Amino acid sequence: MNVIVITLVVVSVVLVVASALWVLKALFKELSKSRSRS
Amino acid sequence: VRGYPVGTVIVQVVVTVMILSVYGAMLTWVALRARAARRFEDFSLAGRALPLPLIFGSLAATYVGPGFSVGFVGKGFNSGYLFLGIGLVYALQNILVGWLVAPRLRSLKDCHTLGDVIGQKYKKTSHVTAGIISVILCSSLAAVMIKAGGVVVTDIFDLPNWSAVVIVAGVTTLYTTFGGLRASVITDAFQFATFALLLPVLFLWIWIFRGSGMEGAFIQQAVHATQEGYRDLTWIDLLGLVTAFLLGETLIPPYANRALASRSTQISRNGFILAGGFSVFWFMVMLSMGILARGIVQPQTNEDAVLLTLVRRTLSIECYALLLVVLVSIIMSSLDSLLNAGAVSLAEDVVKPFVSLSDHQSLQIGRCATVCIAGTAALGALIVPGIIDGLIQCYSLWAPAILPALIFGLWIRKPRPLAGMLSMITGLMVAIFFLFMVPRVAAVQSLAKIPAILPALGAALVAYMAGHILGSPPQEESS
Repeated sequence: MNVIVITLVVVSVVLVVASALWVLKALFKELSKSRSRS
Repeated sequence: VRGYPVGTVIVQVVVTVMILSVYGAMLTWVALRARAARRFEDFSLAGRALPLPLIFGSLAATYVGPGFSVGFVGKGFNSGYLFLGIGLVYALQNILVGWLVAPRLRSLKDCHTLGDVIGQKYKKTSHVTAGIISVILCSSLAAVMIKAGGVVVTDIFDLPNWSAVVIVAGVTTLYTTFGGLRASVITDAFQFATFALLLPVLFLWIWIFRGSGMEGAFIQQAVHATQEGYRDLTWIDLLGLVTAFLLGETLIPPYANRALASRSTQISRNGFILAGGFSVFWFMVMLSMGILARGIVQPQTNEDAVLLTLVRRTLSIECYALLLVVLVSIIMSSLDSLLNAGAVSLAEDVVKPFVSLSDHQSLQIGRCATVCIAGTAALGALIVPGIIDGLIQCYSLWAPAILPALIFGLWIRKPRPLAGMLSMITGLMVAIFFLFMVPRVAAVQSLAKIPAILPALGAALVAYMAGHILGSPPQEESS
């Protein structure tokens, strides 16, 4: 049980951070698009 | 900083000011690059061109407010992983909305708000009623967010409450007024990235370097806390919590606006499904942080103070400044979405049905409405009783008043205007009765233990059915 809980916590942390990086990448892409439009 | 040598204090103050300045500069840069809205369509729906990662990030940033961050750390501290089960219901709600409702919303033509959707299904009176309920809900939730922001800023800078409220409301209003939904979504994405990177990193740091024992102690605390939480929960509390998490926040105006503003029906659906999935992992991290705090923070600490106390006890002043950045991001990303959704609803659902407006006039009214709603919410923030109580009151009003009419309206082929109107008025009235009358009237105080959302939702459903049976189908408009 210990291993399962610890694994779930670590996987959650990794997925939250990965989501943040995915959104950040899309944000910079969107901002660079709006720069080229203006 | 009391008790530190003068040199250390100076370094801490300089680093703290630098962290806050860098965050402020980056937020300003992002908000400026989002550009001002030039048409009402940009202000209300960001030109209906938002891609999947931004819809997902903005949805997650909007629902992760003080309740799902500071509040959930406190819940983990007191009841372990008990709230993970309840949180799964919230994830399920988002996934169901994404799968069943969001694509239907996005496929409707000429809809800027939920009021527009209800207006298309049930005609003008219901349109305006839904608009008024949306504006009141957004203003009330914004008041709760501003209060939460004020509490954080006051706690860290020791400022008077009113000035903390002015700072939080003022900065958010500034970029939302000019940039509209696009600025709101783009700054949400930046704020989401900020708190979703920093908070898990702070958690891991404390766990690895300050936690007492990596596995054994943590698991022991988790089991003990979850058992304690389960023992204190009655079945009626559980039913109320599950209903509130399942329906209370469903399709509130900012979420509906994001469903309508997606680039396609597919993005609308996937955005909600991904945001629902993300919530499970987010709750896991927040609850784990609360469990970790059990070995470090005093047991009698107030639930809402657990996160701040944990960071204060284990990390340096500079990390406390980082936590401020995280919390301000969490609060502002929810607040800007509520201000924009309320303003768009006021212009589109309350003013437009009575006055013919040009695009430019609609845009100006939307901007003025943003400032007015922020001002009203800032005043309201000074009298909001408590953050969690305020949120529960808002959700208890929203779900019964709007959801039956909205969901049936989207699924029934020819919805009856009487059904929509009856359901909205009955749901609202019963919720108001249970929230504000029952605790004050001695004759009915025995009903005070029942969560308001349950009887109000039941009454709204019955009223909808009665209206559907008694009402006549809408007349086809000749144009």
